[in-house]
Amino acid sequence: MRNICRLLILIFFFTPVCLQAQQFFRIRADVSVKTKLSSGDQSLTMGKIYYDRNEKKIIYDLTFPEKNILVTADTITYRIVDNQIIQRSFSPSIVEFSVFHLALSSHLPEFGLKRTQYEISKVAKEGQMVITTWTPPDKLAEDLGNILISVVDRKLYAVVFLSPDGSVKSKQFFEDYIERDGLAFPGKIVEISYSPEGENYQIMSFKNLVVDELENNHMYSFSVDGLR
Amino acid sequence: MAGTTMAGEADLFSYDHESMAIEMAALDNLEEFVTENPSVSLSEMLASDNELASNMAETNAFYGFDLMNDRALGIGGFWWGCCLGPVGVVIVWLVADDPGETKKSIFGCIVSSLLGGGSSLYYNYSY
Repeated sequence: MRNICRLLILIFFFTPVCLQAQQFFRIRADVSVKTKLSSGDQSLTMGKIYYDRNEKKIIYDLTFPEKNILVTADTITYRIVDNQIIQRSFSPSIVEFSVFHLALSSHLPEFGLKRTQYEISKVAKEGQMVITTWTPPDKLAEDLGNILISVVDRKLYAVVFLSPDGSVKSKQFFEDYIERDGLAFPGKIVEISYSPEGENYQIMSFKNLVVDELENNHMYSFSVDGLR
Repeated sequence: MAGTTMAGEADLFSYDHESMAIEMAALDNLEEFVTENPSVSLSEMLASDNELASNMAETNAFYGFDLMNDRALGIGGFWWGCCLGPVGVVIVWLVADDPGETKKSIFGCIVSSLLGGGSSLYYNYSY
């Protein structure tokens, strides 16, 4: 009886802690982005990325090709060099749909599509792969094609974007997953897009992943207020 | 919810890893060099005639490797790519509940680029 009581006490106290451990809120990583176009043009960008899903700002502390900081918040992207804002641009993207936010909030396997007007039109299993076809709303069917998502072992494996005529416009592959403190995050994202001139490639790699750190608060909440 | 599987759907989810490695070899070499020399900049490498930097994009690009121009509403290619996650999410953002003129004004521009899967790589090379 005493042992049962002890067990119940342990469960009572530790279950909330365990559950909370799955509520990830921050991610930091070394990032590298390599791009090569069908024209032969290519580039490399390297640095660190900081994201806190409560702050909803994506901060890139870049070191190559040059030192600068990029901050995306709301609908603006700022480029900052030596504490000066040297460029602003409109950015319609929503950080809640970034790979960082989706991973932290456990929505990456469905790509965040559950929160949109896209609807599932088909689900199929092929080998280890579960393939879900998402269809745009009728009002946009002439402009947007389906999105096919494959999941392997409950992790997002790849996404294929189709044009309305069914041809493949681009693909993204999520590879080399890093397991850190219970969070699974792709260590490499490969994107292939197709143009009449050929294929274009972009590979994003992540290393030294840190989840839910309590340091570097100033980076996660980077403020452009007061910068010229 | 299960439906009939179209023949070859799983084949869509693959790519030629060897070809990719060959295409990206120069970038991989540059990445390795920069990892070993973290304080180096591209301009310094170009100034010293470092071969690894010889075919890389210029340093004055907005996003560092912005091979794509600002035609798509001033958004560099960096942000169309995976850096902000699957770019297709911008598509879904457009079809989410987002009323107003903003959506109309940007829709035509963005859809054309996002038909390529969200990369302005497609946009730049198709329009």
